[in-house]
Amino acid sequence: MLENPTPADSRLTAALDVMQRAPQIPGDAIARTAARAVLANAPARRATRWSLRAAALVGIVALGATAVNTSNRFTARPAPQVATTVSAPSAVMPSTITPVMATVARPIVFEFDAPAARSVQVLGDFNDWSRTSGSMQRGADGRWRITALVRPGRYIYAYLVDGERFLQDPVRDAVEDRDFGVTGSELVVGEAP
Amino acid sequence: MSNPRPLRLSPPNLPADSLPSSADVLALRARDGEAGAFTALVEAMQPRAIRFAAQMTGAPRDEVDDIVQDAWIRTYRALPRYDAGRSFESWFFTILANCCRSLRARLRRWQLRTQALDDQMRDEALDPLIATTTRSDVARVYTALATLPTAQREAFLLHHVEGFGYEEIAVITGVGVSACKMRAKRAMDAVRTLLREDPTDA
Repeated sequence: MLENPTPADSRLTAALDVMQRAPQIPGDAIARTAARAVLANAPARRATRWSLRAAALVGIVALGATAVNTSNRFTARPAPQVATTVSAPSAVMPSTITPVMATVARPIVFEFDAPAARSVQVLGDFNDWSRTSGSMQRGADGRWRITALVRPGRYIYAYLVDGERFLQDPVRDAVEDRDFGVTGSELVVGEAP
Repeated sequence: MSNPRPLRLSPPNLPADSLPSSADVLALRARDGEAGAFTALVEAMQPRAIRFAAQMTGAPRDEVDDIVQDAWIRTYRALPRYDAGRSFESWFFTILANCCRSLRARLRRWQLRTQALDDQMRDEALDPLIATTTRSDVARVYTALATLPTAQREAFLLHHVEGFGYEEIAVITGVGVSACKMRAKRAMDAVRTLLREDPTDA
């Protein structure tokens, strides 16, 4: 097969046979590689951006949370349940929790301070990280808001600013979404009282 | 010489899914949004991708994984532009080779590091089916490749390890077929020279 074969070529052929061996690949590496490639393009651009820019903007609060003065718009009051479950150790929790479909979705207010942004979306497990979802409206105070109906469950979410930068919620604990290999924020929606 | 061919037309020790036709089909299905097709595509190509990046850069395995990951990110981004008239293998290796070159560009003083190759040699050394002489020759080939310009090493690996023809290498590297042949030949000359210097070569 080699051009201009020499006496050493039988040895070279044997060496190339060894070099052509397939390397070992860990069992979960394929799915992880594919997931990261997908996530890096949509919705997240780069996983590193999540951690690098988290402190740039100020955050969200679920309905009724004490830091947000919009809770009185709604009748449901899930906030205490949300607040008490955020600090659960993420490392031992599944990356996503399927919402309990039999229960009723609850209105959750997301609020994000980004006066210079051209657009802000909230994306997460609850809307399948769809870039066509979660578009927030900018208020006169420069804060972006949206009310989303979310079924009870645990979710990981982040804010997509100007369609390209993903930022985690600075007022929430960072949680790694192991499905996608990135860090976001955790939201737990409890059952309606 | 008049009819140059790659040492192997298809890489050994790889699953059947890694054959070009399978990759082409998977790429089209992934491009068209079929769930799972992209993961299957990664599975089909990953052994070759890891092997090429490791041998091309000599980087430790974690860096090799990063290079290949970056290649897949770029591939997924470009997938909507993939067309059925092109071999996915050569299309992907174009991206992968660029990623390997980018790593080189990031290094102030490039030299082929040997950690990954040492690791690979150590793994191979555990295989009782590989003769001691062959293990020694593999080390010499790696040593020879380490001394070569990147373009020659790239042509050698694409042709003699990955099994690409010169026309495909021309597409991957963006240079003419003649230049690809010349690069591979010079690399082969260097490898042969080193093997000839080996006293075990009768």
